[in-house]
Amino acid sequence: MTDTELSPSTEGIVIDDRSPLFDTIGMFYKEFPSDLRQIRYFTLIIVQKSPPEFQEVNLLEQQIGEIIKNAIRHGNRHDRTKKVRAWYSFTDNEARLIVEDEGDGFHALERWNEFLKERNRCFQRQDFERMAAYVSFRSEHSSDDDGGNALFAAVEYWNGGVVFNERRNRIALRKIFARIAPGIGIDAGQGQS
Amino acid sequence: MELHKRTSGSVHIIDVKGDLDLFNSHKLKESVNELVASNIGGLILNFGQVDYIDSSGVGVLIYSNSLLKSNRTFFHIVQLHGSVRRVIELTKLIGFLPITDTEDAALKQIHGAR
Repeated sequence: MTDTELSPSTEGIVIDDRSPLFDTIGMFYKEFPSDLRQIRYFTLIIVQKSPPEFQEVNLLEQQIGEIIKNAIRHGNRHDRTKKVRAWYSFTDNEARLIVEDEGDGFHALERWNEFLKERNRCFQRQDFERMAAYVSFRSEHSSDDDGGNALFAAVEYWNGGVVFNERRNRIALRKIFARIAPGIGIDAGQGQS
Repeated sequence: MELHKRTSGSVHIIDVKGDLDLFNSHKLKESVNELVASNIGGLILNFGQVDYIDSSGVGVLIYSNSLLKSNRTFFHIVQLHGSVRRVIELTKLIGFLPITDTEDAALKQIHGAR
């Protein structure tokens, strides 16, 4: 997959069954029961496949956990007879994740995209009074402990694209890590005369 | 996750320690509710010992900010670091939430505003 295939996601999440992000060839696969109590364990199973050189592994774990949590909570509605299926792969500079639930799909996606656009407008203008109405996305299925903010961070974090399938019960995400130029240390440029 | 409460004059400080997630963020919410109900002079949440936060934890920060704002009570979140700060940045809540680098700076701001 090349960088030209990236789909920008900061303007919203697209629906595209044909996205290369749904290609599962060469990816690891795991099924999980819909049990939120084990969310950290599920996530660690995935993250342990990441290269030891990966920066910000805590953040990667957190972001993967949010996607699986959404599948359990909003997709499978905590029904333990329903599974969450996950495909994942890592290279030196990329993390990919596909998560599928057995639910009816994210039907509020268009409303969420509009919500995100307005939220981003408020942020760009630094209009925090207005932004107060756009900090948490709520749907008829939101519970009290649902922060309503996980996907806002996801579209920023997964900078290689965030895509739903037509049925909206499968999400694919790609994160590209910045490469550090070889031979240039973190202190490069400092202390030079 | 552990919550340790202390005071600096009329300002209450909660030291949050551990991971703030779906299973325990309600405890922080309850503590904030209790303090706000007791008419405090200000609240500082010290996140110096928090290395993990999920969307539920972020939700409690948003809730606390809204509650204290409507109550016209000084509110600061201090010592955000590492992946916790990154999550707040990714969620674009820097600027929206009252984030201050250190507890001393937060106390100075509160006392200076009076």
